[in-house]
Amino acid sequence: MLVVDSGTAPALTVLPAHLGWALVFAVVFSFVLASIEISNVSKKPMRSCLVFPSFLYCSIRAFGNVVATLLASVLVARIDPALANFYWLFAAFLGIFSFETILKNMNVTVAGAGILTLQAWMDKALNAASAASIESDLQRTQIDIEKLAHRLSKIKDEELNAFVITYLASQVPNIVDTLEKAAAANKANPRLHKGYAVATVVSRSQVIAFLKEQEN
Amino acid sequence: MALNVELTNLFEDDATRGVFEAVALPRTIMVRDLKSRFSDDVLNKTINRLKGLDLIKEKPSVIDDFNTLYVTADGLSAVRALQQRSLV
Repeated sequence: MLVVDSGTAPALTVLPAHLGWALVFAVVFSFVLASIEISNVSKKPMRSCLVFPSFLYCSIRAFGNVVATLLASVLVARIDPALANFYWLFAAFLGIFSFETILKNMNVTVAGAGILTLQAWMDKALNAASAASIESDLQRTQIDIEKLAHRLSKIKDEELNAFVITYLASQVPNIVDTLEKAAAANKANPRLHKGYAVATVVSRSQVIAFLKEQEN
Repeated sequence: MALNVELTNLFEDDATRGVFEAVALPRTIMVRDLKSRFSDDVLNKTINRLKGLDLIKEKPSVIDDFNTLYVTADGLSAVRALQQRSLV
């Protein structure tokens, strides 16, 4: 127990000893839960979810969980002292799940109109984080495409054209001609242009397998 | 998010709701994949309307058919509202 000596007043117990660990657990668990939630809503891998709006959403969630854990710790301190070693776990667990309940049920209304629906605001933050994750994933994909396109542009024309025809001819008629004309019209490198087209449409593993064959 | 009047009217059109669902449920989709399910006329009209309302965005590519459509934060809110109404 942390004890504050307030001079003439009797010693006042303000912070149970387990509180520090409970708060750390609540924060870490909040970040894990929020990350899973963002990845689940955006349907993108975790690595694409490392964007600022995600951090914001995780922080808001962690803040709520910390406050709820603080409140829960007061109740937990009344549990059988034989379980004192696990107070931190109980406090964090109670705090996190009570915050979920508060989120789903708290709705401040004035004259019948909802002015503060916590769940609605958390949903907005979650949607912003998820949308940012989707954009981040597209950017990562674009960077991959650019790298593959540059590698493809170093392949001989005959081999590259064969690869383009194999995968794109069924989707776009006269694909090689179309791409070469578009590149010429824009004074672009035709092989790089074809590389972009193939890298956009064909799966990464297939492109890499083709590149390995050609580069060896 | 409750659907506002504009979105409610928008999603009363089956084709528009269909295109929106096709983009929003998987979160991202290539235009060529939509072309196999919807006519060009429907696609052009609805994609522009959905983009105008900032429900979806489009990432360009070398070939138009391979452009990627993806859902925005407002689009995700609309999906949630539609799911609450059991329309999706």
